[in-house]
Amino acid sequence: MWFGVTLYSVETLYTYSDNILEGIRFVDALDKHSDHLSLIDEDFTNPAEPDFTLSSPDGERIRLVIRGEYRHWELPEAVSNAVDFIGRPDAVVVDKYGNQVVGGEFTDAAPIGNMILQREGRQVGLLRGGFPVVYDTAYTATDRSGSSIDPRFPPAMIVIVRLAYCLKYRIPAFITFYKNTDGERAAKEKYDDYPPQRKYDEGAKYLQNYLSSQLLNHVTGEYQTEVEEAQSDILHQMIEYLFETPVVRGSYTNRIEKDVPALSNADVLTRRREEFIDHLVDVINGRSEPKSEFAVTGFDPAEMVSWSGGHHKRKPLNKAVLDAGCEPQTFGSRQNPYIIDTDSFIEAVTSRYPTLSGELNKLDHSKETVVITSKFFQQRNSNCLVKVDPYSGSIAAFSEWLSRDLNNKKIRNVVVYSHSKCAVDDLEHSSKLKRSINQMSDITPVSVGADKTSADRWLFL
Amino acid sequence: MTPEDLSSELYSTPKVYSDEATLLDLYAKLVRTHDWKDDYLAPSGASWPNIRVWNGTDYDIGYVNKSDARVNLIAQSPASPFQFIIGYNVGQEFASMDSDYRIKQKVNSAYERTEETLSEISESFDLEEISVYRALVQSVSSFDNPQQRANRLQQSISDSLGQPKRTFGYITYQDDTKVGRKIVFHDDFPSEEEERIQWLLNDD
Repeated sequence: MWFGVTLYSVETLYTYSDNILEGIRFVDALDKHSDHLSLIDEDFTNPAEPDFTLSSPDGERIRLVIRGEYRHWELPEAVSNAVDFIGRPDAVVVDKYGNQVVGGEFTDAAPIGNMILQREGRQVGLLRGGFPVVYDTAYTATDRSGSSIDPRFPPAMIVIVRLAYCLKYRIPAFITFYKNTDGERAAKEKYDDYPPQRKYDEGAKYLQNYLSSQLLNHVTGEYQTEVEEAQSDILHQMIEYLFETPVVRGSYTNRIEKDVPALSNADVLTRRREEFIDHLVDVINGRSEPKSEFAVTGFDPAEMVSWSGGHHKRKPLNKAVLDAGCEPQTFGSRQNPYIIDTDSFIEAVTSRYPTLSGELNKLDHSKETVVITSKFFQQRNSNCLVKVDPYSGSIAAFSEWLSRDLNNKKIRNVVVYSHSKCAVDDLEHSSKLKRSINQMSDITPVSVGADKTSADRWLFL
Repeated sequence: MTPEDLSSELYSTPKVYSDEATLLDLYAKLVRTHDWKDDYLAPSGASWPNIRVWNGTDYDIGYVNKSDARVNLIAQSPASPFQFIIGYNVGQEFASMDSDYRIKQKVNSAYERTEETLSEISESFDLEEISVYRALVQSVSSFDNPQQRANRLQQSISDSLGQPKRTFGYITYQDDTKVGRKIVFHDDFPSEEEERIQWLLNDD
C-alpha cells in the first residue's frame, strides 16, 4: 500500500493463436463483455507481437502479448503439445513460464450439418494438454447450399460431449452460444414456434466473465468465486440449451429426446440439475472426483436403437456386418457410429474378407467396438483427394465420447472405416487426419472399390 | 515440464516475419489509431467473416462465400464522404508477379469480387463521392532489402500488375528492434490524396 493505493505488478500472459486476428478478437471481446477486465492500453509498435494491457476494477493489471500464427513462433511445450495433437485451436493462453491458462475456439460458424464435430480434435488436444477449453459459437447457422437460406441448429451432442469431458478430464470444457442475426432471421421466418425463451445476450457475458476471472485467478491466486460463478452460469446455459423444444423433425420435447435418446442418467440434468452443476463445478475445480450418480457419459442399453446407417450401410465392411445378421446399436436415430460386440464384428467381417483377420484380431476381444464410418478420399479426375475435414474432428469426438468411461478409461475399441474409389496409402504424418487416426483409432481399415458396395482392395492407415 | 521464459529471445523472435504483421500494422493504423471502421479483416488462411459496410449509422452486412476470391482487409473512414482502403496480402506471389499473368488475374479478381459484394450489400458503397484505394501489403524479411522490394512493388503496381491509379503498396520490415515502414504509390496516384494516405499511415 502506498498512500492508501494498492500498487500491483503487471503480470504478462501470452496468447498464441491461429492468426494475429484471433488474438486481437480475444482481447476485444474481454474488453467489451467482461465485468472483470477492461482494456486500458494497446501497443502495435511491433505488429508481429501486439501487446495489450487490461485492468480489473480493483487495479490488478494483466499484460497480454499476442503471438499469431503458431508456426511462426518457437512454441512453449504446453502449447506445442496441444496444437500438435490433432489440429490448431483459435487461441491458447499461457503464463510467462509456459504454464496452461486457457484455450478455445471462437467461431462465427455454428456446428451444423457435416461440420458439427469439425472443431473437436483441436479441443480434445487442449484438454489432453491440460488446458481449460471454451467454445464460443452461435445458436443458429444458415445452410446456403440449396436454393433457399435454411436455418440450422447445433445438436445436443455438442453439449453432451462437453459435460462428459468436464467429468472425464476434471477440466472445464464449455460451450457458449450467442445470437447470429442471419440464422435467427431465417429461423423465425421458417418456424412459428421460434425463438424459444432465451437469454440471448448472456452467453457472451458468461464466457468473458469466465475467461477474465480465469486469467485474473491465474496471475493473482484470487477471483476463485468469480471463476466458479461464471462456470455455473455457463453450465446452466449449456443444459438449458439441451432442454429447449426442437422446432424441427417430430414432436420431441427436448434436444436429448431428439438427438441422444439413449443417454443414461439424463434425469440428473432435469430433476437434479442444481446438484449436478454444483458437482461439475467441484470436479473441475479439483474438490471432488466424478461420482457415478452424476455420470452422463454412458448409454442405457434398453434405449439404444438399431443402427440404420443411411448410405453408409452399403459400404463393404458395414454391409458384411449387416448381412451376417448382426444388429449394431447406436445412441439415436441417423447417427454415424455404431457399437457392436467385437467377436461378432470380427466374425462377420472376416467371413467375407478373410485377409482382414490379422488386423481385426488386434482388437481387445473383451471390449465392445465402436465403428465410425468416414470417407477420407475422393476421386477427382486422375487425382485422389484427401478429405481432412470434418473427419479429424468427428473421429476425436466419437472416440472420446464412446470409447472412454467416467474415469477416462478405455472401455471400447475404436475402428475408423472409410470406403471410396481411390485411396492414398501413406497419409502425411503432419496431416491432422493422420494425427487424429493415430491418436484416436485402434485400427483404420480402408476399402477401395469402383462402386459403393464392393472392395477391390483393402489397406490399413 | 521445465519452466520456460517466454520473454527470452528464443520465444519472442518470430521465425517468420509474415505478411500478417504488415496487414495488422495497416489495420492498427486505420482502425485502432484513426477509428476507421473494420468492414472486413481476414489474414491468409483464416476463416472468412461476414463482410460489412458502415452506412453512417449502422453496418450493412453481407456474406462471403468460401469459394469467393478474397481480399484481406477492408477499412472504411467513419464519416461521409467515405473512403475505403482495401488491403491484399501479396505474400509468396511477389517473386513471380511480374512474370506470371495469373497473379495479376488473381489480385484483380479478389478486388473486383469484393467491390461487387460491397456494392450488393450497401448503397454507401455506390455513392459517387466515395474513394476506394487498393493497398498491396507485403512484409520484408531481414534477409531482403526493403528499399529494393519497395521499388519493385511500386513498379509492379503501375506496370505488370496493371492496377488502377488509386493503388499503393504498404511494406513493413524488422529494422533491428523496431519495425520500419515504406509506402509506395502508383505512378498516377492523385498527389493530394497521396498526402492524406501518408498522413494516415505514418507514425507522426
